Amino acid sequence: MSLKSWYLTHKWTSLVSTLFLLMLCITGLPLIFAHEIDHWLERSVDPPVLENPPAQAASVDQIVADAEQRRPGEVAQFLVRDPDEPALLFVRMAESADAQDLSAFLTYDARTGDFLSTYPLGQGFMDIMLRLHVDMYAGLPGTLFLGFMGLLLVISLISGVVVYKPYMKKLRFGTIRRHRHRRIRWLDQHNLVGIVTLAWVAVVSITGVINTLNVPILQHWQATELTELATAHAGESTEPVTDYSLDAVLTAAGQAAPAMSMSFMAFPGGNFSTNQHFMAFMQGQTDITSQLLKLVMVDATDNQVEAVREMPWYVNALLLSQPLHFGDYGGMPLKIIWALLDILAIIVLWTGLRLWWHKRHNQLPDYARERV
Amino acid sequence: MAKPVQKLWRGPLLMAGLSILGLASALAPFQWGDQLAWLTLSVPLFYTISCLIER
Repeated sequence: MSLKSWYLTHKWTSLVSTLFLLMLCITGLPLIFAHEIDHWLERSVDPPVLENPPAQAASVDQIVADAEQRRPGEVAQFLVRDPDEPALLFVRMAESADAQDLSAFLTYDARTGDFLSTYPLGQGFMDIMLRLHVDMYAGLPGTLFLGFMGLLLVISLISGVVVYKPYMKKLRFGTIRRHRHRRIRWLDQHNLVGIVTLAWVAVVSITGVINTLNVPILQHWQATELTELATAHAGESTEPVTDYSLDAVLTAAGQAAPAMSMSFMAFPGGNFSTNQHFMAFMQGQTDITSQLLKLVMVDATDNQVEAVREMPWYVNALLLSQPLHFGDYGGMPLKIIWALLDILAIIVLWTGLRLWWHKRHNQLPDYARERV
Repeated sequence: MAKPVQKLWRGPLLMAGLSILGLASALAPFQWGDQLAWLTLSVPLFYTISCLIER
């Protein structure tokens, strides 16, 4: 490919995607601190400080019974834990076990079993940011469209590296020619910030593209491996089992996956389980294994573990791409660095847009054009 | 003596290497992974900021 073709590739892939990428960078900025902002806005709660914490955790059966009592006509669909908040237990409620959408997300104190709060679903500033960032209120087509914009960004980055060379071969790395024409200054800023943040932007954009495939990836896993597992261990129940002991199921799952803890668990009758089985998704405790899941299938009628499965490579790729996109895997300092790198990415997009706009509407003075 | 093309890519390669090391080390199973990530990712970040604000 000639240099001109690379330049045109860089120009058009950037132009088509820039406005969407700017939106993604801007909405992504508060989402980096979603956990902290949710606490600040009192949308979620911290576990209370207990003077005498009980020696044993509260009964999960009682917690779920309380959740179902609070939400008549609804059923518990998932139990969820947050490794950063081990004292909390979340119950995801829905109108039926196999409903696509949740109806409520309840927070309990896992130590005492006390009800703490209901997460406000589908409202507030953070929800707007999340919906814009994930699907622009257009559902799966919106998500896949944003994934395509991410792919264009990857092509733009590759072509950007190729066109970087002729501009920079006579300049020292990091040079910004401040006393030249403003377009040259913008070009230098674009080149500098773009090349320095290249690896970070590439990783965040590639993992973002993988994240947009979240629904198709999980649907494929459900249609293949999960269906195969359910067929191999088909129980006798034609209706979802409702008479079970969650505490016994969780103990069985924990024994089947030692040194792991529950990340979330699907109740019988759901899209991630069978009528007769709980599916406990267990996570490890090291930095990397906490991002990956192991499936433990537990019979709800007798608490026997029927199967333990590693997740396939494509689900693992999705799971690993999430922290690398969100930047939430290295504490608050990493989140701050992530936010600053995000601002630098906004500068790259903005200077690129200004360069194109200025070139379209203003010819560079001769003295400047000669020396670019 | 380094050829001009090698010199051209030295800075970008160093920055990309530090970024990738930083991104990976926060996931790596060793004790100071997070701190290494903060340090290595800070270098390209603050280098860029210093170049942008330098008068």
